[in-house]
Amino acid sequence: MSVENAPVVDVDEAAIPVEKKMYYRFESNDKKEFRVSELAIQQSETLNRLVEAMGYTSEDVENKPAIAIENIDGKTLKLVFQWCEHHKGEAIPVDDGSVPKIVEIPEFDAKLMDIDNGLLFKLIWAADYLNIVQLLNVSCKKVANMAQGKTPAQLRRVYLLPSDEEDEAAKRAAQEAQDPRAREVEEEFEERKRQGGNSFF
Amino acid sequence: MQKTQTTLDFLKANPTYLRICVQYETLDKDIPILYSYRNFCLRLGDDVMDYPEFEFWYWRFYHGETDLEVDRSSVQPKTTFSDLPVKIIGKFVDEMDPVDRILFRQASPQLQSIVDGQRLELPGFGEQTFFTWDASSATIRDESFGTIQFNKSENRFYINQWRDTIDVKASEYLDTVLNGFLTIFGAPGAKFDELHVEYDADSSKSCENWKIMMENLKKFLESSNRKLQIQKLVFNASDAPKPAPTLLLPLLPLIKGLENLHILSRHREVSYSKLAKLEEWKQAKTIKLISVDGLGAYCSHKEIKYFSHFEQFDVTVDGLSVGNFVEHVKKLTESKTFKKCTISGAFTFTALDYATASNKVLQENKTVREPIENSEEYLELKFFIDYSDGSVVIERKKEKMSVVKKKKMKKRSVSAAGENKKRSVSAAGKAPWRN
Repeated sequence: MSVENAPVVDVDEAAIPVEKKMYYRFESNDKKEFRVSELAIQQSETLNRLVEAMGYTSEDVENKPAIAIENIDGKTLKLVFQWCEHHKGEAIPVDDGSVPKIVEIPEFDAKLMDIDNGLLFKLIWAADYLNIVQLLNVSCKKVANMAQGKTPAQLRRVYLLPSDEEDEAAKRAAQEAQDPRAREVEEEFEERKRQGGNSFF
Repeated sequence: MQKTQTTLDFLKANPTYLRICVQYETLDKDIPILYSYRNFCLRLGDDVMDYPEFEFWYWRFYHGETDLEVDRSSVQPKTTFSDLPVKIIGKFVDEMDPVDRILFRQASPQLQSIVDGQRLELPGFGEQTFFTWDASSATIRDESFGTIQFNKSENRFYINQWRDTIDVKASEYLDTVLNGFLTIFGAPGAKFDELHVEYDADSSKSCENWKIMMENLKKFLESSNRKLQIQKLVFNASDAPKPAPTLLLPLLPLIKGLENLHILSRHREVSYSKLAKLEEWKQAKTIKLISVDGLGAYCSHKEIKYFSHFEQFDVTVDGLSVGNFVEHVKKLTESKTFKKCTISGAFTFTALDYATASNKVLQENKTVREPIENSEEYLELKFFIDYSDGSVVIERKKEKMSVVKKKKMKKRSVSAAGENKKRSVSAAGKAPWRN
């Protein structure tokens, strides 16, 4: 378990099918299909609730259309399910804020997250959407580690953040876009200044 | 004269060459991408390729792609950091060390509000914290994260933590310090059992900066309807050019839950009248004025009135006569909250002088008792005066039960005797020979 000192919820062992494993079918928004074991699905609170509510039998899983996950693309979903399969059966940490959590990134997770920032952010977004607590913990830790020792300028470059000046300019532009009258007044003011007027009013 | 183009300039202008350089960086897969990018920029310059483009090519080559001519625009648009929900960015902040939070907060105004919304939860955080302020640096020290120093040196600003030094390149030193201060001390729910503020700067400029910083801190806390939660504040302004109460004045109203206050100063004739008007001063329980090197922290005996509401106080006063002292002790007998104090300084009277002036008996060990009206308690004054320097410890005490009983019995017997006298008088009035 990579989250130490954190209270955990035990996975319901009785719910694990011993003899026949059931694999659910999911489809990403770019129509890529994945087969995921029932035990791996337990890592995602959202999917677990969904399949429980659907009450599919083994036949239903095969005969009915794959469950569509419309917000997530195939590349991201592949990583999500790889993670869930690797960590299936593991206890799910409960983050109730009562104990400061210490997150460590296991080797498998570190390798899985050797991806570009764009895909990493998608993975984080998906972990949050599907409520996969531990995947969200390790992926957030990865981003926090990326920020380690970076100066504000380096952080702005890595995360494509606007600087104070750019942010101010963007705010001004947004305000002007919202209020065309303000822009007109500004233009009129500039024009009067050019004409040598002393006061606007 | 037209400048001759160097080989490096020529290569820098060639996108394919730059991509090969990126490809070269992926050969050692153990080096993190950010180090590779830094290496790339050091070799070719900061302006040849921005990070997102570098990252795009890096991960392609890293995963075995070799095509150098892919059109980036044809590839699906990426999710960027700014696309992430605030809640998730808050989780990144949760995972960060305090020093990284400080840098992260300074990177962009958007991030400021996110960092300011996250609690700083570290084992032992706030048990004993130090903030040192001097002319060219400011330091925050806490057992839970060590020491973070903001250093001004030749118009460059650095943040040091243990052996790591980060060149911040901020435009304003004061902004950098304030940002660091707010990240640590302004974190929601942050509680400080003991905060030591050490004001080591001796220039007038540093006083101005202190004032600006306190004003900004006030604005920040007011905007989020918060106060600094500090139980014990040790304010050391022994090297400051201004008296400690003047420097403490803008900080004290920003604090809540203050119980103990220690003030270290070297200035004489310090006035506490302005501080005494503050609600935080009235609510604190104990105060200790510490004289540095036995020289300073003297205040006029007239200031004692500002301390009589504390449960406990230690002060060093000047110009105290026996008449003044009798008056101060009288005020302390009237205080409902007072428990104990030590008044030190140069005394112009002895224990016997006091006993005589207050019409009390000087007991053994130079002790005098001052009864508290309508109470079973009294103030015990212990004089430790040798020659002229010394101190008096005044402590509220309860009469021992046996003494209380004796007193009550004495009272009863006095009233009983009165009754008997009355009865005997009335009986006498009814004497048979009168009838």
